[in-house]
Amino acid sequence: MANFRSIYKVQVFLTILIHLTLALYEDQVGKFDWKRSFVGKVKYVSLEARRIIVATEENVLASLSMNTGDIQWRQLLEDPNDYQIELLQVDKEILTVSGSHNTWLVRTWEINSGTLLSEWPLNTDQNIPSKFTVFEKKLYHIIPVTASHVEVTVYPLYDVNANQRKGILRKITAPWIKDSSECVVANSYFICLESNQLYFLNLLKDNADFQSRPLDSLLGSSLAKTVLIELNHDTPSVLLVQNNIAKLATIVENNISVKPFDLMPNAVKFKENEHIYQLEANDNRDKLIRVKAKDFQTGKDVFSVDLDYPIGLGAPIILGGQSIGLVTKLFLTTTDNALLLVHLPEGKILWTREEALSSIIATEFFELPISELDASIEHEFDGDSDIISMFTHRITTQINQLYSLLSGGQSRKNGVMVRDEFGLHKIIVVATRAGKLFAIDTLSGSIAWSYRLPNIQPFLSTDKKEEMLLLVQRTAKYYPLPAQCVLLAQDSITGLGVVFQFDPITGQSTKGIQRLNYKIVQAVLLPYPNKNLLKPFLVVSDTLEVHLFPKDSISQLKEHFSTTFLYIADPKRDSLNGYSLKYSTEDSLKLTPIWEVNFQPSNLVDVSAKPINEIVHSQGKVLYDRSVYYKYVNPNLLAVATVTPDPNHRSVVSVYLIDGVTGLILHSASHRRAKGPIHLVHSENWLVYTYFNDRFRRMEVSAVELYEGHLQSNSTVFSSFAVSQLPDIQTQSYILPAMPLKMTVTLTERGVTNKFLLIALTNGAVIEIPWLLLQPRFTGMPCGPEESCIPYMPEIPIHSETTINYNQTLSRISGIEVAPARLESTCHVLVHGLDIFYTRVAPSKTFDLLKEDFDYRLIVLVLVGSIVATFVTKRLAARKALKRAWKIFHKKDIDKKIEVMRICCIGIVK
Amino acid sequence: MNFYLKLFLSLAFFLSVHADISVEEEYGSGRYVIEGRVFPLSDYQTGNLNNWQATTRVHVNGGEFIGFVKKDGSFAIHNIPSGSYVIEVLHSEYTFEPVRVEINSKGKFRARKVNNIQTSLINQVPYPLKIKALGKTRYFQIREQWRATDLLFNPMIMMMLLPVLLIMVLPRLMNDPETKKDLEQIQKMTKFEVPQVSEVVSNFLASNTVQSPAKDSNKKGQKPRKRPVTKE
Amino acid sequence: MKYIAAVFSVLISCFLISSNSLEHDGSLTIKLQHALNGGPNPVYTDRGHITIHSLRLKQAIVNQSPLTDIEKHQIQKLAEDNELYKIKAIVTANDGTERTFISAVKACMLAESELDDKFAVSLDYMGRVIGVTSLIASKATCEGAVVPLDKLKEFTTSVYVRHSETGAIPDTASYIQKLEREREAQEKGEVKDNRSFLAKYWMYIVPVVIIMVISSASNPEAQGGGQ
Repeated sequence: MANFRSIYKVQVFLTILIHLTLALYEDQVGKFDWKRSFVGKVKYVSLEARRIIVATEENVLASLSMNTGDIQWRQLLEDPNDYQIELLQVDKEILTVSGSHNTWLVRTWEINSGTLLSEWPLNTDQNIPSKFTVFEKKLYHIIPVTASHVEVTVYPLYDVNANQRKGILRKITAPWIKDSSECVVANSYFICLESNQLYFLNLLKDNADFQSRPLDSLLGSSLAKTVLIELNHDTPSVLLVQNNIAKLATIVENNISVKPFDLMPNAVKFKENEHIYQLEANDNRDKLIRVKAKDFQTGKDVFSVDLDYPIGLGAPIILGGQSIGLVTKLFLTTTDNALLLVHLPEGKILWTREEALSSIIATEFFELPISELDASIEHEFDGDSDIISMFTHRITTQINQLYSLLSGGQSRKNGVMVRDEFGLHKIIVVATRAGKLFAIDTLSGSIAWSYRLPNIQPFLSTDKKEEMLLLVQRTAKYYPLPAQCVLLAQDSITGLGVVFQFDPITGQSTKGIQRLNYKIVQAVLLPYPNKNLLKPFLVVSDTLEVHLFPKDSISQLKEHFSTTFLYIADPKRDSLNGYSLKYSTEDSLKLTPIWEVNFQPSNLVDVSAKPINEIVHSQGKVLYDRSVYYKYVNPNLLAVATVTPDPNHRSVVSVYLIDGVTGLILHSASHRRAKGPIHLVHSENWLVYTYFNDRFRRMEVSAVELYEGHLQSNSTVFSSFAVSQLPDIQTQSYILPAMPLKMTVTLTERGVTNKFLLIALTNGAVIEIPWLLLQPRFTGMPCGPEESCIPYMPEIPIHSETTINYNQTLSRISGIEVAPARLESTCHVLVHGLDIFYTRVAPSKTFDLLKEDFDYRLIVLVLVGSIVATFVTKRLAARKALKRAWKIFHKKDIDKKIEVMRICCIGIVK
Repeated sequence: MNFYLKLFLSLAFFLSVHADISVEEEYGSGRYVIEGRVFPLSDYQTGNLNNWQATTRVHVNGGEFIGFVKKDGSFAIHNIPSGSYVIEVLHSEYTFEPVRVEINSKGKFRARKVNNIQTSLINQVPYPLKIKALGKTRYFQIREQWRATDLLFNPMIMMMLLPVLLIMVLPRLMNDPETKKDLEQIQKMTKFEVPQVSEVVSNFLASNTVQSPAKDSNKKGQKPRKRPVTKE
Repeated sequence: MKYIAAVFSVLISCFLISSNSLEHDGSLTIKLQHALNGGPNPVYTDRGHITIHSLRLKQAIVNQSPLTDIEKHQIQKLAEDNELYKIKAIVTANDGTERTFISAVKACMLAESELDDKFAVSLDYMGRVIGVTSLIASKATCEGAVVPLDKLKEFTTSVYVRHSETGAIPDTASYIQKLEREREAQEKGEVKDNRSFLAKYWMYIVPVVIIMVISSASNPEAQGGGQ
């Protein structure tokens, strides 16, 4: 009964708090949210007068400020997985060619604002990778057709009516050309390297043919593989790289010749002067990189400058540059996708951009450690001090605490970050595709530390999603032990597993990078901390061997062998397999298969478990008749989505709820004539998923909720093996009038606060939708505010006020991460993609905190005012009474005097 | 029957001719261009956004194809195969209504309003598209501002202030000897004629309180009644 | 036109709801094997057959022979050691395709239930088997149990064929009807504000009354002062 009443109270309480308008106030903008924008890994660059135009692998065209590196404008072209920018040419306007295979789009843009000036499609029949170049206001499209010929199509670029644009096609026979041929465009020449012959073709001459020179005659006979690299220059020239030594080959009047000096393969040259710039490693530990300029004709060193190269960045290459008089600016990019602008001759780095952050793969939120001051209280019982010193110790620390409180906050003292009262200040550790770890401060959005792991790449998991794992072994709660986190990824060359242990607050690692000798299939954090309060984790290799980290925590795991279960999703066989650790021994961990679900011929698209740190506060739902309907809260439940190609229904989306211990399929639903993208959100006793309904051509979202019924079978311990009855399942579907990209649900400390779904849409908005709006309604039961139930609406209303990122449009969102704050009402949200956006949401409003527009001044003023008024009126009243008394006394009117005395007495009594 | 067939044929022919006129097919690859024009709100409202073209994008099916807006507000999205598409114009400050464009296999275009609930309902709009901004997007709640008039006209405050005024001002008036005289005169004149409302009420109450215990004691034996007893 | 559309969508939704079963009926035979040896390397021996003639009707015929004494002892031993009782189900569909599934339950729960076990045969939307799971109906688990041999005679097996439900679709028809009704109601006449005069304007009346009372209450004193 008590249980029931508490549930009821909470429900009513929260119903009062819900008003479906949960928008921000305009003055809250930027108070606790921040946004960082990125462009991605740069492919092509052009340095202009005051700006740098970049084209990136994210299929983005952007203009960066020369002075600060800030983005001036940014245009996102089509999906980078399908299309890529293949040509960037900046003249009076910017020209880009982007696309893939046989569909290309030629666009011109205004330099100052990034407005589109013109766009025309360039389609060919040949579905082959091709090259583009611009020469004398003409666009050359070069397609090498294997073992046959090279097609060169010339399009006029300007002064042409868009509809009448016709290319002039020319075919040049080239029977030697292969798929593997290396070809580059250097100035007006098309140069290919094939079986030790160098072929070159003058594109400008209408009737020119390929000419060839054997490589041996240029470089001397060598067995080493030769690589062809183009060099940006007025005279057509290329670099021939053998054994990491480059030779410069130039074509003058249809004759190719090699210069007698050696260069680095990273050598570049700009139009403005006759210098070749190259980067060399330096022995000086403070200045690791040296820039060397060589003369183009003689190869003699002109000058060399040591750079103030920041530590922690990967190896750089020069992408572009600009020389005005003596001043040269070099635009560098690094192996970890950072961008740098170098100012020569000083060798100063003007700015750095960490573009690795444009592709975050894994994130984790960390609470900060307590301050030294707070921690010193813990020292009270250290050693064998007597009671007086303990007492004085406590008093002094508490006085210090009071002092620091009065002197205004302690969240950032001495540059060390410490925990705040409400857990609003956190550190976000992110792992990026480039293999670089960053720690971001939630308050400012600044990078606290970064760490580059060389040769690291993410795993490819179900549905070809890239994944890295960040496992939290120990949080910062256990002073004086530092927090510990682990990154699991794979080696980019061998594909074998990589384990990296580090302290998430400082970024320091004691063990460094551990490279494993097996591939990682699955890894799981175990909830059994060892004596150092470190949670061990299991790694399953591709041969189904199990490895425990750290190894000495086997004694903790040993007791739990028979109750530890694992599942592995196999996207190749479209199956889900369950394993038990039951038959393991201390010496060898062993997986025993105990169940299997086989979805073939359907394709396994997504598997979603519940958030591990989720707490279900309320065990039931109160119905209209005040009875409790208990939730089916199974922590082992997995949600699985499959897509089946079907001849009758085109494609069928099926969603399953599977118990992860027994493999029992508790629920399955299939949507015919539906297709992906499917997003699953699995929390408490419900599942929400979205799919595209092909019949009605609209996005739909379905909610599934599981209940045990009016009786709770076992309120203390849940066991997947004890199946007394199958859960009662309620479902309902809705129309979602938007295209979702990612979806997640808010998470709070105790789970009391209402749940809100956060949905990232293709239009760059992240909206919040209350779960109450989706919660399936019970048929035949009243639905109204008293039942905390919103009447069914088939189309979910999306208001612009529910956009948590207001007008800060976010591009190519690849994930939304949530973490609870210590304040029950509040949840941290990080949205990442090409932009990073952090904010805090309070689904039931900040009910545990005074409103931030609470007027402290007014209340103090009113209080002080009323106190002052009390005293003043008291005085005035006394004076008045005295005056009146005297007045009456002078009149000597006895009756009146008595009367007045009476009044005074009453006044005093009052 | 024959007649109908002929009619049908000629109709189809007409349609295909019509389609040829309205469609710009590219290189015979069965790919089409969706064209249209974006109209922002009138100039005085867009004055601070003189560069709205660069920040406006056109999404087809949520970004499957992308169009950019030129200086004159027009857009053209190339390489689109036949099918049904939702065209959305995106701008962070303005809201635009999405439009569904259907291109059949012959290349005939039809544009209509997006209706997710009644998908078969056709509400045709002209093609090439003319997309007008519905209005400025409201992202923020308006904070309730503190205004003195709000406070003053609050019934509670009025209730408080009026008595205060009466208490403060009336005695002042009394103190003035001339008005006092006037008042006294008026009071003398009206003293016995009209009994004051308050007096009547207080007399009534007083008599009630005095009488009620007596009444109660009288009725005690007959009817025990619950009543708050006023204490003197 | 709208009306027709509404009717049409009603029909569609009716059709979808009524099609909440398989498109094609089929039959299945499941060959059951169990491992009674315990330990990590199970050795499967035959246990019986399950024949499902019609997936639509969900009727199953279970064919199992009584346990031999050795098997009974083995099960008793498994239960005592808190081992897993493992099942292998070889499913043959009527098109001849064969699929093998494994499943496991706690042996002590099986013994405590006196060999009353259940099989959930889960199908996808086309009637293909995606999982066969063995279950014991129980409210609690056990950690090993000694069960007398006379309670372990024969398997009482029930089979549940579980279809994939047709996913819910947004209920637009009733919503459109509701909107229609509301519009009609609105056309019939606007809702009047039929509160009483007092209920509407109490906030203006109450202060006036209070002020009157206060002013008149303070007057007698003033009068008294004047006299």
